[in-house]
Amino acid sequence: MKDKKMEATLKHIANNLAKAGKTVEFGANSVLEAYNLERNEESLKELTKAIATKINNNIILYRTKMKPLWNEVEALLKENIAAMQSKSDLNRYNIVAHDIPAVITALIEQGEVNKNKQESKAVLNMKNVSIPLPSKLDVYKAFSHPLATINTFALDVIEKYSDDDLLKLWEKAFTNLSESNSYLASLANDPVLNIEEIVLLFLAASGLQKKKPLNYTMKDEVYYEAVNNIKIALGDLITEAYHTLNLYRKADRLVLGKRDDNYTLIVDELVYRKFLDAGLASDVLLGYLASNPEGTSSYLLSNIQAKANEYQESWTSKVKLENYNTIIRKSFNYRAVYSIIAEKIVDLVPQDLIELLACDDKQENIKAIEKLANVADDETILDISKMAYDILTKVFFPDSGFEQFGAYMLKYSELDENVTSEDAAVYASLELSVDYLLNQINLEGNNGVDSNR
Amino acid sequence: MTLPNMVDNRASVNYARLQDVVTISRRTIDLLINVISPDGVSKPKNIKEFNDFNENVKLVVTKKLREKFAQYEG
Repeated sequence: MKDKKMEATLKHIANNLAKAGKTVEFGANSVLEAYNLERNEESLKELTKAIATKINNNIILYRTKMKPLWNEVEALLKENIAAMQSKSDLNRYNIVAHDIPAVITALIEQGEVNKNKQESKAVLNMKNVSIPLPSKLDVYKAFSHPLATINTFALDVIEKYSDDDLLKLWEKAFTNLSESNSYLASLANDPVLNIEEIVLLFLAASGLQKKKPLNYTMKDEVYYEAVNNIKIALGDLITEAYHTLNLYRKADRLVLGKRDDNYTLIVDELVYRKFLDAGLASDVLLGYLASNPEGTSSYLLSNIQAKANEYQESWTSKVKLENYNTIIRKSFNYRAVYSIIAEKIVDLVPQDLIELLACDDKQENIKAIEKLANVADDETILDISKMAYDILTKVFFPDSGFEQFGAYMLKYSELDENVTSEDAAVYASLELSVDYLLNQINLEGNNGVDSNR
Repeated sequence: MTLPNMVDNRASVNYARLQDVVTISRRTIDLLINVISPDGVSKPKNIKEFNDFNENVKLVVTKKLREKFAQYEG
């Protein structure tokens, strides 16, 4: 079947050439001519030996010189590119749903915290008091509430934090318990968003109020006054957060705020469920976050819903633009890296190979690499292995036929995962020898002799 | 002598020579495969792939001939 198809193709070519007035001729002294004239197996064997020697030399050159150099150049490019990678900030955008922790309800039910806002707030009217850090082993216990009925719910919040996080929280709040503590002031600025930290500190203050830490030498009256005050102040903040969040919910306020880096949007969990139930996607909120609208009315579910399409489109365009820019930035950076390290690449080529390939003009080699980094298309630029190969074949091995050799190697390497690079080198050499034979065909015709080489 | 389906004698000559090219290429690859291995270069380990390549030489050559003379396609 294959042979019939082949014959048909050969007839087709032969007819087309004849119609164009061309006759197939074999080059003088070529393998084709020798075999055609003599039909002599021995002469073909002799000629084949010469080709085989060339193939063997190619493979040996490939194996001993070119492949190791290719690996080295590729590693050098990768190392330098890794140091210069720029990343998209898209995956930093994030939505966090915020709810009233169950422990707050428990605290209110147990009378530990007021449900309604008080007219007057507790003031931290104390001198500097520093409560020492608990040991890392005890930190979990230090944030537990003395009442088991509350502690059951408290665990949900405590377990979100690592021991180190809890120690840091303690350090920021309790090792400088005074009116001038800026961390406590920052919690008070937005009790809704800081509710978890406030609850944790309230739990810890409850424990401190129950029992002064061992070996703590501060006078009892100063200690308990300070601890009582901070507990009342934190309790008031919890009440305020609870009250405010309930007001927000009545107004269907979806957005509670953003984290300081502007990449995280905090939404009320209850209202967020309404948002999702309305068939809206989180991309709308990411678009909202990226658009950064101003004014408190823009926090409301109804206003965000009204502009859902606009926010969705805004996010889609941002994603497209970022992806596009990432590719542009990436290829720009890659080109820059290849140019910057051109001299280092040249220095990798061993002296004996430079002599063998007769490419000893260092400045010319550097310029050739820089030019390649400028003119290669984006797809090649981003393929580090291909770029390393191109640098070798186009800069150092330009006249050796290795560029074609490389293309064939790649073809055979991709055929099957079992084909080793040396196998691929053999196949590539065989295919090159077919090319060599076909280059010995000339066309003689109306317009004289066409050398189709 | 004009072969069946050939437009003229020139076409017959072309066809015969192209057949020779395929035969010689096939034979050359055959011989090459047998002489590759001195000087430390061994035959590919994956014999099946290698045999497939050997088997497909005719097709490879035919395809290359078509590409080589693509400008004369009718």
